[in-house]
This record gives sequence, C-alpha cells and structure tokens, in this order.
Amino acid sequence: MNNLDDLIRSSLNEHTPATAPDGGLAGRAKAVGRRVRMVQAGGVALLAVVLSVGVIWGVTTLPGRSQSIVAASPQPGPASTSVAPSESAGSSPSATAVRPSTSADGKVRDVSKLGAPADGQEGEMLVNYFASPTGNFHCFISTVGAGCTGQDWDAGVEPSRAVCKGSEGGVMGPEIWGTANAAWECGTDPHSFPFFYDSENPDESPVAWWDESFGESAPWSVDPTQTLAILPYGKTLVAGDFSCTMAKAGVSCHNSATGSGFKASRAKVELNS
Amino acid sequence: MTAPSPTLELAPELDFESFVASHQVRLRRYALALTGNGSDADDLLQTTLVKVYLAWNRMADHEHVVGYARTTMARAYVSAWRRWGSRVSPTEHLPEVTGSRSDADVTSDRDLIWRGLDRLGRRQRAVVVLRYFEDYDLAAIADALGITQGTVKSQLSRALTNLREILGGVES
Repeated sequence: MNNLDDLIRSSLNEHTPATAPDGGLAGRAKAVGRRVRMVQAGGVALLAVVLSVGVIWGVTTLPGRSQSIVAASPQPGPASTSVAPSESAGSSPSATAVRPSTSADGKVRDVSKLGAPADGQEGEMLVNYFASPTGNFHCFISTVGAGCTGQDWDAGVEPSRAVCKGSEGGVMGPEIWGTANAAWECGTDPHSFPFFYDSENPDESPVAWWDESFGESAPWSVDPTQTLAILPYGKTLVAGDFSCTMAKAGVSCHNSATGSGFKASRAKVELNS
Repeated sequence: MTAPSPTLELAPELDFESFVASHQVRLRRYALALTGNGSDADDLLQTTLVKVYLAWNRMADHEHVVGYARTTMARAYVSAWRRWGSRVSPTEHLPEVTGSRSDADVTSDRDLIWRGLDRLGRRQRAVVVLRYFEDYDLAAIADALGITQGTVKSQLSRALTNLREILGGVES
C-alpha cells in the first residue's frame, strides 16, 4: 500500500456518497427495456413481411422456381443493446429514415447523410462504424475523417507511440482527417464501436449503413454478447470524399480529394499509399 | 399426473426489481465514480439497468448478475464516445501543492485526485475505478473491459503517472 493508492481509494469513496434509493428506477428501466423489445420485435416482424413478400413474389412470378430460399445473415443479438434513455423516452421511431444509396452492383454504399452524431477532430460529424470480417479491425468513417483500430498486430507492425499524433495514451491505429495525410493516432479510448445499438432513430444509429443485403454480423469474440456490424470483403463505404474498402488483404481508407489514405492489415500498415 | 415441481421459479420481473432495490445504491456510486457527475451517473445507471433487464431471462445464474452489471456499466462508459466524452474538465487550472502536509492538505489531495480523474481518458478512468473502487485485480479488470492484461497495466501506469503529476509529487 502506498500513499497514492490510499489517496485514490479514499478520494473515490469520499466523492461517491450513497444516495437515497430511487423507488421508480426499476420501473423506468423496465419501461425502456419493453420499448426496446417492441422495436426489436417490430424489426423482426418487418423482416418477416419483407421475406414473405419476396418468397411469394418468387413463387408466383419466376417460372420453374417453386421455392425461394433466402439466406439471412445472423440477427444482431438482443444483448448488444445500448439504450440511451434520453433518446428513447418520449420519441417515436422516425418514419422518414434517410436510407443510404447503394451502387448498382451492390458493392458501394454512400453513408454521407446518416450516422451517429459524434465529436470529431474538426467539430461535430455523423459517423458510421464497421468491423472487418475477422473482427480485428474496428473502423469509423465520416465526411471529415476515417480510421481503424487494430485489436491485434503482428510483431513489429505497431510502432512506438512516439510516432503518434496524439499526446497521450497508446497506439490506436491509422487515421485520416480532413486534408491531412494519414497518420498513426494515439489515445486512451477506442474511436470505433461497430456494434449494434438500439436506436429509435435509425438515421442516428452508429451502424446506420448496415442492412442484411449489404453487411454481415457476428458475435464479437472478446464479448460474445455484443454483435459486430461487419463490412464484407469487396464492399466499400463512402462518406463525402472519404471511402473505406474491405479486402482480404486488409482494410483501406482514402480521401479522394487529396489522394492520401492508408491500408492496414494485421501484418502491415501502409500510410498514404 | 406428476407432482408440481418443488423448484419455485420467481417471476423474472419481481427478481429484477429485487435486484435493483438491493444494489442500486452501490451501482450508482460506481456510476458516479466512472462519470464524475450525478446526471451522467444517473444516465449510465439507467442504461446499464436496461441492458441487465433485457438480458435477465437469458441469465442462467442470477448470482452473477451484479458482476454482469458492473461489467456492462464499465463497457458502456468506455464505449460511449459522445455521451460521456464531452464533459468540460474542471481541472484546467489546478492549484499547486507545496510545503509540508497537514490533514487539510490530505483533504485537498483527495479533491485533487477526484478532479484529476477528469483528465484521464475513459478507459484509464475505468481501470482506476475498477482497481481502487471495486478492488478488481488486473485479470478481472481485463476481463471486465475486454482488453488484455498488458493494456490494463499500461493504462493503469499512465493513469497513476498523470495523477502523481497532478498532485505535484506526492510520495508513492
């Protein structure tokens, strides 16, 4: 035991006084939880209707196709929920959701106008999070920047924190902001959270880009109660001048206006390639 | 006809309410230690309890629900980039600590530590709170936050270095 340890313990105890129990707390949590379940059930029901319509359409309109089998991606797990009470209470689901536009070949999706409000290096932005199919990279993309955090790197790939832009913390991963060149970013907190969250406003979901026709999902190996929103190989997300593409060789993000960007894999990171 | 099972299954909702009634005071203190202010602590506590409620029926063993709630709360806190990330640090201009140390100085040091926690990143703060408020060891902290023990060590080391600097060289 030393003085600093004692000081921290006593400080935490002193500044976290016990308050009177809140008799309505459980009821409020249950009420929000029920709304979340209703939203989830509504989503499943909507999916079922869509699939049913698709099956009926396939049966009735496609000659020689007696059955239409739709391979649905895994459903986001209910335990991946993160409910913001202030967002959930008193608001109704948006009826005018902005849907992302997707290229004709289904490989590129523009998410410039939707995503979760977040604080970027150049002010507020709408951000979308996505994970690589292996789960190793957690990334974000917005109209002002993009970046990826590697969960694991091969030996020698991760540089000393001396190369980082940030002033404290450890190496997070390569990022590109505005017109600046791509650079390694330091910090104490991860920047990307590519998990399914419940949001009553689909436009403000941090994985607003995701749907079953474009994305994949899988439990996060570190915490299987959380479900990753995965950008499959061969798919690209675009936000303004920024784009990120997932490939088996790694994830790459670029600014088309400047030509700078990065390409990252577990074994190698190339900045401004 | 078989006899009714002697095992009494409590109604899930009654169980949840009992859990909240029994643990909400401690969990709110924990939330306050993480967030540093009452309104964010209340938000974090409710977010955590909603998650616990949604997971309640899937839990095979409710003995561990408190640990699940602590882990859920720590991860919700660390993962919330925006909601708990834009607080204004009250530690912009910390008073210097000099001279011999009296009881009043120690009280002042505890205040400095509390305000100094706002200077830490959320992951660093969560590590400090789990270590010194919840008395978790390094392995338990790593498990709770979903990070490696090496990361826990480095985050804790940096956090303590920052807090030492804030104190102006308290003996350690």
